[in-house]
Amino acid sequence: MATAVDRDQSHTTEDLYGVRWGRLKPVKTEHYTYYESFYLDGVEYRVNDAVYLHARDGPPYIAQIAKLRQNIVNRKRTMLVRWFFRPCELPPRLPDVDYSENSKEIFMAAGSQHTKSFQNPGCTIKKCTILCTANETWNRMPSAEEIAAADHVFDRAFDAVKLRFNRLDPSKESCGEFLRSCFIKEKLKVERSDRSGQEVKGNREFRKDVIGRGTNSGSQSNMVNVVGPRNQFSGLQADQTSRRVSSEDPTAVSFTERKAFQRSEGWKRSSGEMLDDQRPTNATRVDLKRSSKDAGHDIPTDSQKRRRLDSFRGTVQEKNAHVAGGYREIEKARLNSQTRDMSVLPRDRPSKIQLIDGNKFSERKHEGTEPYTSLSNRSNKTRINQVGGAREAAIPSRLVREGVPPPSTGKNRLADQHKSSRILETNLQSQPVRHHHSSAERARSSSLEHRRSEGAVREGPRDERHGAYPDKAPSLKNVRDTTWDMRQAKDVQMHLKHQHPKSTTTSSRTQYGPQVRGDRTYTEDALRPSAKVEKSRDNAEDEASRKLKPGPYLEDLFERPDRTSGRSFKASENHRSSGAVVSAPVLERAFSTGANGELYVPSKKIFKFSWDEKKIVEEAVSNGRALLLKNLDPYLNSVELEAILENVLDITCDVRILPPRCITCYKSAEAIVIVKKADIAEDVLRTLTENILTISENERPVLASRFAKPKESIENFHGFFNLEKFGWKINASVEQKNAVSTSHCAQSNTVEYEMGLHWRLIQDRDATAWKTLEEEHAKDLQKLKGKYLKLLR
Amino acid sequence: MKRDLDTWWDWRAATTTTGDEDSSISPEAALELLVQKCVVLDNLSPVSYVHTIRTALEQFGKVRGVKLVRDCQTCLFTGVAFAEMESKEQRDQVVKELKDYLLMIGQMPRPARAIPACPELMIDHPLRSFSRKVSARLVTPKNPRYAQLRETAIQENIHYAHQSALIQHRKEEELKLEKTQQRICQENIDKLKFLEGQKSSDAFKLVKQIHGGLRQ
Repeated sequence: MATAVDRDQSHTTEDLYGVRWGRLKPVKTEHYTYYESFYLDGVEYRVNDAVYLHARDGPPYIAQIAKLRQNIVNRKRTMLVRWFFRPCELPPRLPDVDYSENSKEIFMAAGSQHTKSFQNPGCTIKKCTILCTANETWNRMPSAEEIAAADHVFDRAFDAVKLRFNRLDPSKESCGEFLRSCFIKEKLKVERSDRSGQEVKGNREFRKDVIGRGTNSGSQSNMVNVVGPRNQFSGLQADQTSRRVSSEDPTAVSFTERKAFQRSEGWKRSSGEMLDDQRPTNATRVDLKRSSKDAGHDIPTDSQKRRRLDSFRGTVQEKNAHVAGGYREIEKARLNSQTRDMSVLPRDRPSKIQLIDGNKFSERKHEGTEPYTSLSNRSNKTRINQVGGAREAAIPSRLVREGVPPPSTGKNRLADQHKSSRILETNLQSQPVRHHHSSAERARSSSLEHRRSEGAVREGPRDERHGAYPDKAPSLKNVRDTTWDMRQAKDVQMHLKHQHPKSTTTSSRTQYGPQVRGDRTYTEDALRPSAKVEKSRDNAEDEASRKLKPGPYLEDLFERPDRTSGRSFKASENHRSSGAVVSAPVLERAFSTGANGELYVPSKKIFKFSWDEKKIVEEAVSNGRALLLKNLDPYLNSVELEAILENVLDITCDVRILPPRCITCYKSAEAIVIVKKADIAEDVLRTLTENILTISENERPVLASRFAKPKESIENFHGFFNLEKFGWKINASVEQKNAVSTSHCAQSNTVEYEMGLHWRLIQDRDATAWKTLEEEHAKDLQKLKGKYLKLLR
Repeated sequence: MKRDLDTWWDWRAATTTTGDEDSSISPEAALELLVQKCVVLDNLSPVSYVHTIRTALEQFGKVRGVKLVRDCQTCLFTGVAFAEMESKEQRDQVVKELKDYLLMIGQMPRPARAIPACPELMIDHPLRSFSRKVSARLVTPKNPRYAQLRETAIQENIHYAHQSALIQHRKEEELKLEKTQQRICQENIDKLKFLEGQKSSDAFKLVKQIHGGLRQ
C-alpha cells in the first residue's frame, strides 16, 4: 500500500512534474547527497522499492530503486535502479527458463559494470512487488500466499556479460549490498528509517538551500531519463494496486541471522553508508534533471519548451486522472508526434524514447488502464496455477526414480522439468536449507533415494561428487554462440527491413543503434528473441511448434546414452545387459554417467562467450592456476572439454583449445585450463597423473602439465626484414615503396627470390619432418597396442 | 582499425555460413562445404593483418573472410590465418599459386605457405561437431586397462617431446637462416650505398659512358 504523505515533508516543494523529494539521508559523500524517497502523486517511492518503469507500449521494465541522489554541484537528481530481466528479455532457448508470457519469474541483472548509454527523457513509474524466493539461509522464504500475491519472484541472477545464471550471493561485491539491503535486513532498515527522522534536522539548512533554488528557478524542466534494458515484451503483468516490498513482514529476519550478517565481511558498508561511486552493477540512471536559469547547464531546446507549455496546460487533468491509479499514462498523440521514428523503430532496438516529459497525463485514461486490469486478472490466475505447479514438482523426480517418464507433455513437461530440476538442485546444496513447504522435503527425500539407488550401481567416489555441485549448469554456461556477433545482427536487420520496408532507415539506426561496447553483448542477445518471434509470426504453425519445443537441444540434453556407451565400452555393456544401470533420469542435467564413471557429453551448437582477455591467462599463468592438457582429440571443442572436466574432475574451469602446433600435423590438440585456485590446479594435476583421463572412443590418454608455454612475441618471427633497419632509405616514390611492402610474388631474378627459396626449403623440410615423425609415432602406438593384444590372448 | 573485429581464436572475423539460415543443409554438410572453401596460411609476417591478407589473396579470387589465429597469452598473431574463398576452385587456385610461387605477404623474404583447411584445424568452429557425443572417463589404477593406458601416456609424452624438439629445431634453423640472410642483405645494401656514393666520381662516369648504351 502506498504510504501516506508525511506532514513534515509538506514544506518540500513539488517540482513542475509533481515530483516531491523526501527526506535527505544522513549520509553524504563528496559529490552527492542522498534521498530516502520521493513522492509522485501522493505515492511515496522509497529506496529499494520495486517499480515498473513504463517506457512505451508493452510490458514495463522491472527495476528496483537502488539510490536516489543529487549531485551537489549541478543539482542534478538521479535515480539509480537495478534492473531485472523478464524471461523474454533473455537470450532464447535457455533450458531452465520458462518463456511463457505469464511466467512470474524474473532474473536479477548482474555481471555488467557498464551502465546504459541511451536515455529516455520521461517514463511512467509504478510500484510493484518482487519477492526473492532463493532457497538460501539468508533469505526469508516468502509464504505461498505472498508469492501468489507478488507480481514477480526471482531466485537467480542473470549475468548479462557471461550469459549465465548466477546464484544470488550476498557476499559478492556486485549484488551483495543490494540483496542485503533489500531482502535481508528489512527490520534493520525500518529501524534505521525511524532513526533518520531525527537526523533530518541537521540537514534542514542544506535542504532549504535546495528548496530555495528549486523555487527561485521559475522555469525548470524535470527530465526523467530512464536508461534501461531493451524492451522486448510480449505480455502485460501490471497490477493496479501498489505494494511495498520493504513493508512486508519486517520481523522475519531473526536476530541470529542478522548477527551472522554483521559478522560477515562487507556488512558494514551495506548498513547505511552509501558509497557513492560504486554504483550497483547494471544499475542504470534515471535522471531527474533540473535545468534552472542560474545553473545554466541545460539549455532547453524548442521542443522542450513546447513540452513544458503542454505540461502546464495538462496539470489539472493529470491530477484528476491520477488519484486512482499509480500509472502515468503516455499521451499517445504527443508521443507519436515526438517520436515518430521511434514508433517505426524495431521493437528490439534500444531506442531513445520520449514518453512523458513529466506531467502530461493521459486524458484517455480508460483506454490505457482497462487492458492492464483485464490482463492482470488473467495473469493472476495463471500465476497461482504456476506456483502450484512448482510446489508439486516433487512428483516428476519420484516418477523418474521408478523409471517412468513424467506424465506431462509439451510445454508443461518442460516447465515441470525445469521446476523439478531446480528443486532438486536447491535441495542438494550443502548449506542448511529451510523447508517451507512439505513438497520440497518430499522432493528432497525422493531425490536422495534416487541418488542412493544410482550410487549403488556406480563405482568409485565420483557418484557422490557428481551430485555435489548444484549451482553448476554446464548447459547454461555455454549459451553463447560466437558467430552471433556480426552475422546475427545482419540477419535481424535484414528481417526488419522486410517488416518495415520504408521506415527502417539508416538514419534512425545511426541515431539509436550504436551502443557502447559493454552493452553490445547484451543488446545483441536481446536481438535474438525478437528475431525468432518475428520470424515465427509469419506462420502460425511454426510458432506453435516452437512453443512446444523451446530448443532443438533441449531434448538432446536429456537424451539417454544408449548406443555410444554400448559400443565403446564393454564394461558398461555388461552392466546394461544385467539391467543394473538405471536409465538416465531426466533430472541428471545434460550428463549421464554409466558404469565406471564414463560420461557422455552430447555436444551442442552452443559456444561460450568469447574469452579473449589475455589478462585472464597472464594472471592465471603467473598464479599457477593454468594447466596444459596435451594429446587431445583434435575434434574436441572447448565447450565439450570444459563440460568433461567439470563432470569428471568436479572443477569449475575455463578451457580453450589452443591453436595447432603445426598446421601440417594436426593429429593432436592441446588446451589451456584455468581453474579458480592454485591448489585446485595442483589437485587436478595430481588426479590426472595418478589416474588417466581418456576422452573419445580411441581412448587416447590426456596428458596434463603446468602451463609453461613460451610467450609469442615478434622476436620469435624470423625472416621478415625491415630494410630501413639496415640503414637503407628508399629514395623512391610512395608507389614504389608500397610496391615493396605490399604482397607480391617474388621475381625469379631478384635477391629476394633467392632468399625466399631458402625459406621455402625450410618449410618443406619441416613439413616432411612432421610427416615422418607422425608416421613413426603411429607405428609406436601400433606396436604398443599389439603388445597388449598379445597379452590379452 | 577496430580491435574487436578480430579477437583471439574465435570465428568472429570470418563470415561463415552455418546451418541456421537454410535448414535444408545439415551442419555436417555445411562444414564440409565450408572446409572445401577454406585455406590455411602459414609463415605470415607478424605485422600482417586481416586487410593485408585479404588484399594479397584477392588476386586469386574473392575472399569471404579472414581469421587470424592468436596466441592465448599475448593475443599476438601467431602467423597462422584462415581464409575463406568464394569457391573450391579459387581455394585450389590459391594453394597452387602459393606452392608454385613465392608470395610474400606484407613483408619479405619469407614466403607464405598455404594448405587446404581441414575440419580438425578449425578449432571451436560453431559448425564443428554438431550432434556428437563425447565420452570421457577417468581410469583409476584398479582398472585392468590402466597399465596399457599408462604406457601409452608415457609414449605420448615422448612423442610430445619429439614434437617440441622439432619445433625448437625449426626455430633454430630459421634463426640461423635469418642471420645469414641479414648478412647478405647488409652486404647488398652496402654495395648499393657504395654505388650511390660513387655516382659523382670520375670512375662512375667512365663506366656510365662505356655502358651507357646498355642502360638505355
